[in-house]
Amino acid sequence: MPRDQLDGLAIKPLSSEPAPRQRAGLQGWIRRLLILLACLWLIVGVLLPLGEVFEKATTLELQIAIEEPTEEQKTKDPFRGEIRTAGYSILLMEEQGHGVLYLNNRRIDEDVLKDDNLQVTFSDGRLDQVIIHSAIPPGQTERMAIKPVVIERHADGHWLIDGHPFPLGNSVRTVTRFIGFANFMYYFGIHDLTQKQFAGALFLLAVAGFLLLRMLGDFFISKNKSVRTWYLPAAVILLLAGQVIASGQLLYSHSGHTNLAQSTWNSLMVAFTTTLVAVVLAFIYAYGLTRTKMGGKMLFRVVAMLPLFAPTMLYGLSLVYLFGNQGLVTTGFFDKFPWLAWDINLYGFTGIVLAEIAFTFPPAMMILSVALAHTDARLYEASSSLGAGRIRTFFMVTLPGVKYGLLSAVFVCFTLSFTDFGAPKIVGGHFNVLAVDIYKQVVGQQNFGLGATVSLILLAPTLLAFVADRIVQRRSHAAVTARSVPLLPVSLPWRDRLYTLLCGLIAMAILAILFTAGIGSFVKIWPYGFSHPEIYPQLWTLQHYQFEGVGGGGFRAFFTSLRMAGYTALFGTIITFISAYLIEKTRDAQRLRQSAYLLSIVPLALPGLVIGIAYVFFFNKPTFSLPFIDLQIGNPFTFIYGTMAILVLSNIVHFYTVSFLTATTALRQLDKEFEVVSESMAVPFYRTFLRVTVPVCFPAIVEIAAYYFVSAMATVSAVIFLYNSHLPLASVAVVSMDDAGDTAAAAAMCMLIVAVNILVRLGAEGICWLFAGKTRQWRQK
Amino acid sequence: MNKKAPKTSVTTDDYFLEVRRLTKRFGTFTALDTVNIGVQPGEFVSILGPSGCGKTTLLRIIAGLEQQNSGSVWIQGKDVSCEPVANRHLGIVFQSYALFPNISIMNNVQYGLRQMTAPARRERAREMLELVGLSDQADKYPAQLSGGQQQRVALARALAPNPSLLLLDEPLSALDARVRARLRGEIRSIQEKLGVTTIMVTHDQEEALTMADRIVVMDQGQLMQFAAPQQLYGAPANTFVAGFIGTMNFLPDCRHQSASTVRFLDYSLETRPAESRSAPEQTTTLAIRPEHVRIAVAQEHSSNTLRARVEQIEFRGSVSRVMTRLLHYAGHPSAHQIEIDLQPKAVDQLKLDSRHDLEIYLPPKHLLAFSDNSTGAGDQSHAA
Repeated sequence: MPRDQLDGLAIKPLSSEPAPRQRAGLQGWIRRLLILLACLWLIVGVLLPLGEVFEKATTLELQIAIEEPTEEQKTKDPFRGEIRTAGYSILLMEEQGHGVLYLNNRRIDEDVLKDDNLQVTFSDGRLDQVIIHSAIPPGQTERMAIKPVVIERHADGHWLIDGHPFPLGNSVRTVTRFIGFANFMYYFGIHDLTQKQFAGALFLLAVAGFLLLRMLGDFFISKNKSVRTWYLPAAVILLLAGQVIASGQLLYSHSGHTNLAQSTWNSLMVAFTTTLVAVVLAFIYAYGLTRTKMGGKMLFRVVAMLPLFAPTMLYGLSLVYLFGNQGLVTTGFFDKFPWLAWDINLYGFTGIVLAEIAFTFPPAMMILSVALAHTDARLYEASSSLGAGRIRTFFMVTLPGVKYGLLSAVFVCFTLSFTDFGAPKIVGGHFNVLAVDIYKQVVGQQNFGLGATVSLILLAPTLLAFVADRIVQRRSHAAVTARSVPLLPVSLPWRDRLYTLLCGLIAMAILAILFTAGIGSFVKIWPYGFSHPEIYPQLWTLQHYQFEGVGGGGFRAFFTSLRMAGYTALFGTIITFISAYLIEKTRDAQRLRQSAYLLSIVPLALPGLVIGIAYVFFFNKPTFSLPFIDLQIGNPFTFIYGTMAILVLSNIVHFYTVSFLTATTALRQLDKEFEVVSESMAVPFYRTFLRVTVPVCFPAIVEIAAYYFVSAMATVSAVIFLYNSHLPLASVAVVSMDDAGDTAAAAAMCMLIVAVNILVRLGAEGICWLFAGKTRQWRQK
Repeated sequence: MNKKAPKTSVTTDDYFLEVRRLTKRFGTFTALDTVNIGVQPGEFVSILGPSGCGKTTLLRIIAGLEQQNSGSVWIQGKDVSCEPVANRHLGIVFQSYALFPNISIMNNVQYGLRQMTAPARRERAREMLELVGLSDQADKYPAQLSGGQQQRVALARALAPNPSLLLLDEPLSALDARVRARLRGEIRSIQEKLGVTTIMVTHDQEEALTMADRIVVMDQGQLMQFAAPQQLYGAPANTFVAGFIGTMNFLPDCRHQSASTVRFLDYSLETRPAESRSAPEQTTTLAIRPEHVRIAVAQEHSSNTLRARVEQIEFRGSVSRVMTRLLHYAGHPSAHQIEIDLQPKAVDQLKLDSRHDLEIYLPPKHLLAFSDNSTGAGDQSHAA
């Protein structure tokens, strides 16, 4: 029977009617507007500032100063004007009724002076035109060619720069010129290579690296080697092999050794070493917690989380107290046990790596313990029933089962230790790493171009790790299904004792690295209070907690930090949760929601320093030039520069992704039909949001707020570029007090931060506990 | 579609809900292909089909949760294609209940009654809870109720604002078999009491057959048949419906000899007269239900009798299912099987066992014929 004659149909001629579009209604428009806002704030808070870093790294700022005397001055003085730019001074003097031109104090007699760098046109005692062909980037020594800057006199007496009128009188104007990779080439000491060659060689190496990585990934991860994943990349690499080798050689042969590039290598070495050690330790610890029946697991768990509450400077300070020149271990417990004295050469590589291990241990441990806890006991039963031994089971079942968690932990450790600023600042000594380099370039030398360049170099491996992690995690679904049987550890005395010992040692090390500085902060004069009690009878004191006579702002800084952390927690939680709700739970504007989701993941890849430097550039910039049409518009966001708002914004962005993912996970556990049911009953979405979504997700919201607060208290990297004397911050004070040699005061400030963070954490736990008690009725199953 | 058109284009029918030429595509996948449905007021219609056939998509488009690519949805003679969910006055019940966990049962039922005064709201909620038989549970929270109770609360909540149309999305799939069977009757009696037009999506044919006035059978985004349960069972429109509802024996690759005679293997079979004329020599698939096949005992029927060999006998309580293999006239086995439902007593009397050869009779009035080129998605792979 033809379909057209079926029962119950209305016969209508086939027409090419357009797809009907649902009317959105007021609610729909409110939702769309909110989603748009969720996108926009991330664009302003993340993308535009990042773009600014990229622009600063690839452009040269050329200052042009033109000084002209007034008519009154002309009667008294032979000075007739000066143009200063790009390392040149072009001075016009009146000598015996004639205009005489001096270039860098050398008299010029020709009418047109022209060389590779500069062209000056001078006629009838008047300076007509100056064209600059080259400039020296700040901090560098070599001139480089740039797109010419034309400074010329207009008929009405004005000066024009590149055709734009220059304000009358004494003034300075900045023009920017695109210089491409010049900063990068300078950084890595690459000479005699055109930018095109440099970029091409880099591109080829990147393509080859990407294909190689992909092949390796497929080799280890997927079993079926298809044309697309295996043979095709291999063929491309073979085809490119000659070129790739040539580009490597080209870069190598033209690169000279620079002190600057050394820090890239240093940072990589630190990151690799830290990752290796931290992941192994974290694995042992997590294995002990999840797969053995050792005692005191709760205590071990708490101790492992403690480092999360401290600024990374604290580990540096503790290491100084332990292994520094006057350290507990270095001096053999203050010469009491001289035979125990051990100098590990703390300052430099060793110190940084030790501090970074403490810093990266907690997150790695958390990821691995989650991965190890999510397993299927049936696999182990199958393995032992097939006669596999303990070691074979470990390599064939345990490791493959946690491979995604392991990779994630590796990426997290690498990223954190590669970009950390606090610890290297304290114990780095002369061992330069990228993060400290950026700080030195920007704060010390005011060389923003190179600062931006180093930021991008810092960002590159982080971004790679981030992208790799995303790709890996995408494949990691459904390893454990609803039918899995949880693995319950069995008692095995020798193993449990071994793990108690190992975990105990690690926990002791964590406690030592956390609290030695704490003890130090109570000691009046370290180490002589211990070694020479006869000269310094008073050993213990609270004076370091008064912050008198030390820089950094003392308690004012501490309270500003508290305020900042409070605002960050408040606004961060609101923005994060609402954004996550809109992205996860609404049906409108799908494209917009997808972009908002992607934008929300990006901050995870951004080191705090890069956020800080990006904000300095972006929120300081008076005008934007719109692309393509070259229109200048005022920057509407500059008003927050130098205020609490920019500090809070930078913190929210810095810690956004983790909070966002926490919120998303909590929201995904809610029935996805709540919104539809309310909508069908014509209940506004915000009512259901407030009445159902927020109460049900309350524990996650408290968790997010606590995370924001604790992180904002401890962080130093983003805010170190953004604080000012009106808004001193505790974590920045730690850095400046340590710089000034007030180690005990710096340790005291760290201890205050840790104490507040632990209190906030306990408060959050308490609130969740109360909430659980109140809502037991509807939570019971 | 022209907004002014509704008055004139709704002419003879008094459909409560109408779906016209609905098409929905997800990328290159067509979830719904020009589907037309008309539902009478107060009718209980079930949408039935295998998973992925587009039945949930159809429900979601009717609800306004999904946007069709073309076609329109009409409720009470009004084109609602462009109306948001809130303006369609629907009650929706989902498989997951979607009860708000932090709100008491009473307040859950009151949730959609915002425009009423507080006492009226409570009154209405109490009334609804009474209707579903849960008045004594009003102060509890959803997690304290059993699955069946929660689903009844969800039904009460959906019905409380007096919706014009009730949509049930697999409402019973999350429940265990016993509760499911009881709730079927309860939902149906509540629906009849209130007279609310209801659409229910289900993949469980027993649920659809027992609850619905009419059933929409769908496959691969196409409407296969829209008819009352008896008609679906007795007169399926195509081989898909025939195979999907109940058990059906198929005899493929038959050739028409005349309007009601076909040739199958080396037998000549008389069928029920087909509604659409088939050209001679066109291939046809014959179908017959197991309970309609009879054992020919003493050469009582000369035509429509086939030889078969018993392969297996399954005891199923009230009936026994005998699996047989059809034999060629000469006695060698063919590739076709026929299942026969017999009273267990009859199996005993006939002393049937494996390898037993017998003759089966296919009554012409139960022997359905489907022309192979007009069955759309119908397919011999659905043969039982």
